[in-house]
Amino acid sequence: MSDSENMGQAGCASGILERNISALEKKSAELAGDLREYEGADVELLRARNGLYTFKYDGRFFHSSYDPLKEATGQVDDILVKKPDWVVLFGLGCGYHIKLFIEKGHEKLIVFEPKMDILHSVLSAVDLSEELSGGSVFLFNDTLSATHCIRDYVDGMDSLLSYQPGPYRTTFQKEFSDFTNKVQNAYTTTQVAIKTNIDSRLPWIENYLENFNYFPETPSIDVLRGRFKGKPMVVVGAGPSLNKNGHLLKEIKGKAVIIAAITAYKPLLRLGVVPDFVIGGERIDMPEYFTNSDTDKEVHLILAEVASPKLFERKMKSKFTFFNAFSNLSTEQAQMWGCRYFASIGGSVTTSALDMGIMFGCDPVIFVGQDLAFGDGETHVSGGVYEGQQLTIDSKNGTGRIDWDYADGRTGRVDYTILWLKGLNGSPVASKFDWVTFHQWFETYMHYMKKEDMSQKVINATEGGAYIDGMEHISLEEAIKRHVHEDIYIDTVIESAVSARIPVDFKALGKSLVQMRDGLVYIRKQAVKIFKEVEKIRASFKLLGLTPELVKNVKKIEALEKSLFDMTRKTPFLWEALTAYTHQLKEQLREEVSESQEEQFKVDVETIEKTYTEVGEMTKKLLPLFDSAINMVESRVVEPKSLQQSEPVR
Amino acid sequence: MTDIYLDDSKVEFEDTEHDTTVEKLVFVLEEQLREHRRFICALSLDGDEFDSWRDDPVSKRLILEFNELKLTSATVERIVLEGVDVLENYLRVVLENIDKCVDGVRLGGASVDVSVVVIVDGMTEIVKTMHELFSGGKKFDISIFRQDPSAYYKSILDCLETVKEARDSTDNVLLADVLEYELKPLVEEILKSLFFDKSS
Repeated sequence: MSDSENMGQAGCASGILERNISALEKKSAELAGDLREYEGADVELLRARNGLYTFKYDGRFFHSSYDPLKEATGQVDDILVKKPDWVVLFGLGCGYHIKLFIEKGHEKLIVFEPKMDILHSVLSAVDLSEELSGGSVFLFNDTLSATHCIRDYVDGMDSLLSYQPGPYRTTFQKEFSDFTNKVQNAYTTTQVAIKTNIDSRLPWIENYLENFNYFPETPSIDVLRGRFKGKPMVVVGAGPSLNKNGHLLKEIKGKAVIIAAITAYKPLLRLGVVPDFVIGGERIDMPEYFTNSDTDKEVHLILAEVASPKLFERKMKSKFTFFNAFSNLSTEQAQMWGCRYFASIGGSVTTSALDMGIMFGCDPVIFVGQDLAFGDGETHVSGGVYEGQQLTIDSKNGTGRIDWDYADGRTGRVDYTILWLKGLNGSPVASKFDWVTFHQWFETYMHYMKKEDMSQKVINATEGGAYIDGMEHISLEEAIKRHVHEDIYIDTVIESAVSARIPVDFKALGKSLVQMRDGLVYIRKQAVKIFKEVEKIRASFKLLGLTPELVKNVKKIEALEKSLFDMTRKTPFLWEALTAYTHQLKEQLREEVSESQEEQFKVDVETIEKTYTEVGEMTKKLLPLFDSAINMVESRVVEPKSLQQSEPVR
Repeated sequence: MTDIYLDDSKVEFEDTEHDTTVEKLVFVLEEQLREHRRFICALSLDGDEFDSWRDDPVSKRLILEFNELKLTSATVERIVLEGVDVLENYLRVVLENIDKCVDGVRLGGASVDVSVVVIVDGMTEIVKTMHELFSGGKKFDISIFRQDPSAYYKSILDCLETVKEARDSTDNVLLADVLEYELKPLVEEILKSLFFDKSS
């Protein structure tokens, strides 16, 4: 008997449940805990005519009452014909599908069971411990964890097929709709993340290295850790609803820490509010976000370490840096810069601002202008750089179009797939992939705060757009009335904090940079060798066609590639620098293999040539930047006077 | 004046009141044919042939509206045999529909509702036809089926009742189960046990 045929055999319920819970513990610890503590009613499992389990819920059978296994086999076979990389299953049922998928060799499964009573009953009766122990088999009871799983484990290039047995779809319509939206949103953001990673990775590295000139004089934002304990903070986004209530912030200047997203800075000024901080992470210069007047000098600027060097050059009251854990350069070197904090990055500066507010000790953190959704014909608050944008939404086809005609003469158009979020009044609101990513991040963050029993309050006082689960939703007026009363001497706090800054370890930085540079030199050499091999192969192919000897020569390239990858794997930064190129190779591998062996050979050779030409160019671009950074750091080490200048004045 | 033909022979029929309908004409003729164990089985009006004319509004029309009426008769035995053939074929069509419908329900196909209606309506008609054929056969002392089909009526109607309940409660699993594990074996059983082997 196969494993799935054994289902429904009697066993000790508590023993089975415990085995299942143990299997779940590693990947779904929260669910495992919930199952252990579950004291609610169970669903009565019934025996089908062939002795296997089925059950009824809301008066409907969830599996055949004759032969549930045959029924599930047909369904699983029907799915597998479509050859998905991942299957997302809405509904565990009695576990037939999960067993069958694995029996048939498909092991990338994300299973979501919306009902705890079903889950508890089934896991008490059916031993799925072996299946649930599989490395890429996941079971969840909350959508948040399921969407995290998609973001963490599903490669944006993988195909994902969502399947829901009929009774689940019919019985749990609301849960199904919510789940489907969230899965779709998570999958889209995963695909977008790959693109962002590829498009931005190298510019980030370049910016980071160029910013070496500014880091010594720009303290890490965590100098402010705990400095605003119990003080209210307002995080200002540039959503359309800021037009409604942004003016109220004038009343609280000096009574709350006001931190504005770079896009909200000018709109805030227009509303008569000068924020205390502006936070930005743009990898290219954006002078239009600033006034370029004395007003800028009243504001502290918080910048990502990978932001454009031009932003670091701006004349502001002061500047701070925040480091990102997603960059291996940062994770290796942040501590050397005196940083002991990696901002939790949700893709937006307002998501980072929340994490910083919590790190500062602020309570509450109040959001305004955080719509995360399109307004009525608008994308952003007026008064900002996006003022010239015109929005058209085609709800029927689920698409949106933004045309822009900016004051500086730039025009353009972009089309979006509309994604939907739950709005403040419960109705869906139209959004787009990046905002959805931020929304997911906020909800995850709130979930984490609750789980960790963090006492700081987070209020969404945005008066339009998306509802953010886990935040308290009240008007800005009400939030001010309740929480903003006392004066805060923000500049005094900042001055005191900066004076206690941890010194920069230039020596360690120098060592780290030299090691990375040497790695890059090695990559360049390997790339040149590979390129030369490719040239030889190409010439021989032209002369003699595809000979067995030529195929053997390709092995040489494979060996060179292997040593290159082995070396880069040991140095996370180098691996990261190669991201775009490894992705390119991976994409090619996924493409259909050409019917003609010769054609395929030509395609392979072209891809290798293109990839390693680009790898060579990348090293050519980065090496001078490394040299310059090394020179700067070494100059600081050998000149004790300069070193002292970057030391805090105690 | 309407020309009337029965089995290609002209029939003298006087429509003195000008009120004879097609239905009445057929009734009169069949009264005469009955003693020869024959019935009208086909009708052509001014060249247009009608298959199921007995239930068609055309049967209520006056014969004087037509120039020519052609009627064809057949023996009771032949009519019954044809009826049994249609019944058997229809049962096989229902079987195919059950399979399609079950696949659709289990795999989430789009045409499920239509298939269910075809099955339910089809089976209702089948029961009616079986009953009529069996009663007609008894009247003429013809053994139409190998056994009395009424033994199956209750089981069929019970199945159809469960199908209705499953649809009303949107319980598609139950619907597929009833179709696959109750109605289908029943139809297969009827096909096997009710009909005479044509080769014998």
